[in-house]
Amino acid sequence: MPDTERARNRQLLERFRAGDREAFTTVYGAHQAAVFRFALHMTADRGKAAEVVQDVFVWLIHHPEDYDPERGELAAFLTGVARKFLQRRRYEERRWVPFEDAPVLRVVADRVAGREADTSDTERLRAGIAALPERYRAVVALCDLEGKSYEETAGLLDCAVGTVRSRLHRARGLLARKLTRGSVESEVKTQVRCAV
Amino acid sequence: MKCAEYRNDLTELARGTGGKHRQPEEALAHLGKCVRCQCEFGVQLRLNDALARLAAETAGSGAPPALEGLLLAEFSAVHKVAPRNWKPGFYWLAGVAAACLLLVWGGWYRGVPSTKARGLPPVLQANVLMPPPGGSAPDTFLRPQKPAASPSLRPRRRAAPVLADALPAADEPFVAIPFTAPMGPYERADIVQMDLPVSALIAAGFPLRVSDTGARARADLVVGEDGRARAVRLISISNSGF
Repeated sequence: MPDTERARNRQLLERFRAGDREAFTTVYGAHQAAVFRFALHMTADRGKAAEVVQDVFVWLIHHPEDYDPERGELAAFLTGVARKFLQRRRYEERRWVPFEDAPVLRVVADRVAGREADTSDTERLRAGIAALPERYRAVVALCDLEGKSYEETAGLLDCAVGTVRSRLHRARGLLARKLTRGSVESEVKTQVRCAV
Repeated sequence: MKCAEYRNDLTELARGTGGKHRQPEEALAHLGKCVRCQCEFGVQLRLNDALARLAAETAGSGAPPALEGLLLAEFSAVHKVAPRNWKPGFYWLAGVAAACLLLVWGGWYRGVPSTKARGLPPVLQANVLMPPPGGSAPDTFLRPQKPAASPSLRPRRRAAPVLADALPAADEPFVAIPFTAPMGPYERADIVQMDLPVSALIAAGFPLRVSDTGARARADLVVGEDGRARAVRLISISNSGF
């Protein structure tokens, strides 16, 4: 980041800390979309992603002094805060299984509704990402969906670049397996239907 | 070379980021020869396409517009509340300071008239037993009435040892000295403690009944601005030793 931009960001944050509403609007406008998308990729739920954005910015409003511009960019800092909120949310949600997500109920509901499994790659991929372990999901969301470099991702996730590489490789391997398995299943189903 | 050694590089090749360990040309050359790795590479490219579509779907998305208003309200509330934070502390400090001032002032006020009566007249006049109109000495001198004196008129004195007859205590009221001009309403007066010959008191008209006429009496005198004694209060009488 150029020095002029860094100085401008620092001034913006000073105004933000001093209670300038315009500064808050500028900061929010510049960073809310990235935080929302990251939360959306991690949760696969727009409602939850909006809640995470709200949590992140409310936290920033109450703790503006916790961000040190010397240590990194605000975008990276906010992504880290979002990750913490997502982790907390996951720990809290672990105790509960919604009715619609309960495996048996889901199958029954799909049959009752006459729904078929969506065979498009995008949907399968969305489901596959949601099923990934959190450490793999974060790497896929940041590197493949948000287009961040390995170095940026390593900084956001507070790990080594090599760790990012290996996690991404494993995550993509898992996603590729799900993608091919889904397509094979759909091909078999199509052949069976044709035969019938 | 085995295919497993190229697997890591296939991901990098598909993403277009290059291999970590070796040149991409080497991996591409392997891809030209190995069908299994070609399949793997094809799956990775397909995954790339799906990820790109997914990213494009969410590219323009953001938080709901209503959220900005809510957050702005929260922001305003926090920065309005901030000045209030010091107010309770300020009130506490002000309260404590006021209490300290009251205590200090109260202590000072009580301590002031210990030896001197300031602006005595109104209080003093109420506390001095005036002689009867006839000018004779008050007969209450040795039978003092219970005074209604204010604390300001009670000099803190140590009780002197009573050696002779019983005498009024030091907190008894002053008795006006007969045949002296009364004090003005706001005349300044001093209380002076001194030893007087009992005979002088008798000569002044006080009906003292003491066996030793050479005895001396310790008394508080109210002395006006002109230096004349206006009232007296006996504290103790000492024997002359004869």
